[in-house]
Amino acid sequence: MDDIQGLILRGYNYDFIKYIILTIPNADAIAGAQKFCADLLPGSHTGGLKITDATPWVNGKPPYCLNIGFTISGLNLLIGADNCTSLNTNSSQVFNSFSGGAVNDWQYIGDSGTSEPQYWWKRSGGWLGSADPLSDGSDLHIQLTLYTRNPAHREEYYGKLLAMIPKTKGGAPCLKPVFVKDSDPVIVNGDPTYVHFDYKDSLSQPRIQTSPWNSLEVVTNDDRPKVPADRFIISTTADDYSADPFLKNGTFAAFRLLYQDVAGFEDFINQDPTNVSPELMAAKMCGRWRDGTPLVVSPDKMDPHLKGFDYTNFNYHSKTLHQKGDMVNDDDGLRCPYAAHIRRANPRDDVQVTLNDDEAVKHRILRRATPYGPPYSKAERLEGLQIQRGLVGLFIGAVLDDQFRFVMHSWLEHGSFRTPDNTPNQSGVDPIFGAQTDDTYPPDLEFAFAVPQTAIDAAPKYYTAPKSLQRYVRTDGSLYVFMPGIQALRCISQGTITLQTAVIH
Amino acid sequence: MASPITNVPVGDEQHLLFLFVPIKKGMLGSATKEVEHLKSLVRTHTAAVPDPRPATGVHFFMIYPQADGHATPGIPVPGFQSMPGKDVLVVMSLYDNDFAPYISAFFTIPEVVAGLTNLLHIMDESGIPGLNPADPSTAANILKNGGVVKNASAFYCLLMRYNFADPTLAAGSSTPGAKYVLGATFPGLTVGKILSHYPDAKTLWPFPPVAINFQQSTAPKCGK
Repeated sequence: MDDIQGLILRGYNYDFIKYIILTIPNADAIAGAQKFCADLLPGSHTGGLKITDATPWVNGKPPYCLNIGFTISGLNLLIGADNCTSLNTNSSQVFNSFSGGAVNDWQYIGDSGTSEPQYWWKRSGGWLGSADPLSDGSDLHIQLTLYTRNPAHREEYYGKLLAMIPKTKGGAPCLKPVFVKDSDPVIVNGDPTYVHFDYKDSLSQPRIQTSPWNSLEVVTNDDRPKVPADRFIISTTADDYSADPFLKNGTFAAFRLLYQDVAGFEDFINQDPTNVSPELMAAKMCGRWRDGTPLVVSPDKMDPHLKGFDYTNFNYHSKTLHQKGDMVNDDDGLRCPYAAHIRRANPRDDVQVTLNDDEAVKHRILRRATPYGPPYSKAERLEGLQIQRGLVGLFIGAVLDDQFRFVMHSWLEHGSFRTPDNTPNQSGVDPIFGAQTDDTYPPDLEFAFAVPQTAIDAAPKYYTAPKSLQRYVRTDGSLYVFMPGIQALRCISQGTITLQTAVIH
Repeated sequence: MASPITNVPVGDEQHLLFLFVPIKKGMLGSATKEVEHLKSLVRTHTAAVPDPRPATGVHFFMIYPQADGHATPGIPVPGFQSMPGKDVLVVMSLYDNDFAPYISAFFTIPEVVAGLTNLLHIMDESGIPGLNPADPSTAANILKNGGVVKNASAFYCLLMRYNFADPTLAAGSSTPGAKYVLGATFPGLTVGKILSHYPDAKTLWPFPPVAINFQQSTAPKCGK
């Protein structure tokens, strides 16, 4: 566990987070950047902050947690282009999409129109670079995430982190922060786990098959399928990818900066309140009521009695062992539309979904993302304010092609999510994200769903929203990062990929 | 009440695969044997195995081996051409869905994976213009790094390198400037839909398939 970065195996549950992107300004600064990595190694005797590994905490939460990822441009500088080429050749299934970078993947992921890379980083605020971001993203090298208990600690530890940056012989810093985004909780009724569309969030993280954190508490009512650890922690013995030893115990992630258009979203759910309540519309878009109650568990209202795993113990076809509510087979999407965000991101036991033959296990993503920006207020619109808010963080999976890239492309944004498709709008796209701004395919612009009915044997009654779906989640920044194991971080600090030659100081 | 189909989502689209795979000279016999072996394995597949046809979505396929330096027989024009010094395996199919899910659906069938691996062994990618030996999508690198399942994305790229067809051109669509015209009588009618909706389809065309007697068809009488 001491070779794995901690946030892969568990969410830390700190409320005040700082997401940081560093650039290595020039070739003269590479050695200093490597020293910075060395100083961050757990156990390093230099002062300053250390990377948090996955060793279970014995004395409770530490005052901060810190994790690190590298872009392909960063790795090219720190370990050399030849080593990166070698990794791409012998570990292509995990490395190739990462090495292409997020900028080159915008069309595949659906970052089109107003989400295109030309608009990234500056629009959301937080860009600190003296020049504009480079169009190919090659000036973004290291991504750090700092978790703290309160805003004062966040600034204190960020200051300590910056103080660790070495200087070149000429006195210039070897690393410069070019983008920083703070994340504070969105609190609804005292609950700090909400996001800006006012949904309770992070309810359905995957359950990792083997993790020491699992044994810390005895759980008997968790029905989530176990996901093999090699979906999140790179293994050299996985069945469906090869990996160089350098990659072992590391992982890949998409770092995403997503703007949420709360006003547009509220307009959509409030468009026809005499026929459909805004809360039902919001629930049908997500697959959960805003308090987290799954539609397949409670199709017509929130259930305040749910707690813990009640929010994740459910399927679409067959009831899980501890599932609450009066389960019916939702094969036709009458309770939870095929288009609904949580059904598309994790179709569970719906084997009619394209390439879902294992309860979605192969495609699960660990989400380490949190809200940024202040909660929405209707007064903003009256005052004409353009306030930046959204979601920022990491979407983790060892195989981007099977996890983040697959889910974004094939399940969230693609038609024919499910075959056969019994819904009037042929699944369309994930309505929480909304249709891409250049999407003209009619079913993608339509949101239709079956409304709850009191008579059990009543024929399905469908409602189609009069207004077309718009884009409610806009991409304002994206990076693909490699989050190394601790040994690999030591290698990076020494400019090598050969584990045996990395010297422990 | 039914109404005409005016929208076809990606997963229901039909696409063309049209490969020209370079094969080591003299290895066409091995390629042909491999194809026949695969066909026999499919026929003897145990009934306990799930029917792969809805996922693979293949409407038809054609495989044709042509030796280096030979014109395509039976026609007075060159027809298919091999790269000099290599034989060529011509593979054509019409399939449902996008390219990646179509190909990856075969990865769940061990016999097909073995066949694809054998194909990689007899491929000859020496001297292919623009192909860097370090490219992870070469047959040699895919084999070296664990085979097609462990290098799925690279394998898609290998196939696309030799695919004349455009995997984004849907059969029945009209795309101005497309590299070819691909017609379709029933756009959106997938193999999965046929199996689900045609009366008794799974009995009429079971999986594994039963032997079928085909009556002799007739070619037109031409020339002398």
